[in-house]
Amino acid sequence: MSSQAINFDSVRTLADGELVINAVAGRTDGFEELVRRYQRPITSYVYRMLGDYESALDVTQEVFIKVYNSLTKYSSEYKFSTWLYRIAHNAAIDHMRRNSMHALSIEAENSDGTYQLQIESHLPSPEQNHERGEWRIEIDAVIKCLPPTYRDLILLRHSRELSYDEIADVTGLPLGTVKNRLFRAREMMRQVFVDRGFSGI
Amino acid sequence: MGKEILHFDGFVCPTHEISAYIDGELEPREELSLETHIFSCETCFAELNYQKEFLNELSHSIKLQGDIELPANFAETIVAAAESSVSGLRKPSERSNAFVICAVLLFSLVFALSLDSGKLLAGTVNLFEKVAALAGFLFQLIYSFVIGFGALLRVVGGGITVPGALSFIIIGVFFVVFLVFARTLLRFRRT
Repeated sequence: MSSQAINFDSVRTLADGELVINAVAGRTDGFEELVRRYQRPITSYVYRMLGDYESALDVTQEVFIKVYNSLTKYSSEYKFSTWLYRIAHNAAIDHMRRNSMHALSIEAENSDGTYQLQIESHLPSPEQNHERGEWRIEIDAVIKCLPPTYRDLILLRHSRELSYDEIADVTGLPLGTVKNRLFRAREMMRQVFVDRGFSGI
Repeated sequence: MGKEILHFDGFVCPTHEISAYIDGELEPREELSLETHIFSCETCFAELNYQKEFLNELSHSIKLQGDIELPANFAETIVAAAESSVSGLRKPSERSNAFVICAVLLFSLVFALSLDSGKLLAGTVNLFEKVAALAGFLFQLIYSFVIGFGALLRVVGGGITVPGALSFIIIGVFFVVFLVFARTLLRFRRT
């Protein structure tokens, strides 16, 4: 028992790349530690992409199974987290496509690269949110209404704090497109806040 | 706000660059150029402060939400599911070995069947003849299977009668569709 405890403690100090090497060598505690490290951020990211808790859990499990089966293909030239988010990003997009979860699909982008944002009418009003002093509820509601490609960029940047280069690696978009779309996404959000009466923003 | 700001002299303020500037994602040359412009343009200066405030608020609010709660033993469930997945952490060499073993077993089986069928290899002395006989047997096997399947379809199809050549094409199409379907199903399972 004590040797197991020591073993578990030792893997906790290892870097992601070392854990991958351990897992490939057949040590399952390496993979387990990777799952422990990233289960919450990955589930949160997927949840905010899909907006459904149960689906987020299923997709997260799918992501880690895919990671487990692809560990031998992992290249250390990428950060493990970037590689992992890329798999999660693809899984979330695939899930949305399979389930047609959005009124605004990924393909619904206009020719000029813009979207017509639709805010759902059942969302709480700005006054309601403002009264409760819950900015985050309003922001959460607006993020949910963004087109998936924009929502993705906002989450990767502001929630996961990835750099533009990392976002480009995760999404497979050119760096210039990441920059432009992130700008448009923020503008879209800002416009919604103004339209909904948040003069502070 | 957020739109292109056009000056009287026709110069368009680089508002979209301000966002990347706040993120620290501009090249040093672009950064210097933008800073020079901002200090000489009140509109962009105001825009910079406006965007900075908005992005701070956005990041802060998103971070406040934190990560979501997970079910107990979620990590253990994931690890168990991953370990029990079909391919698992197999090395490519292991997979190719498995493929070779399966291929050898299949050929051994076919060879044994062909020996059992008696006349097929009788009188064949050199390797070429044996290979040709084996290929002939394989063709015969596939042909018999297709014909048998065709007969089965005819029984299932009841009164439907189609000319011989057409039925052969239908069976061929059926096999192609079957293979495509199987491939798609496997791909779907892999994602």
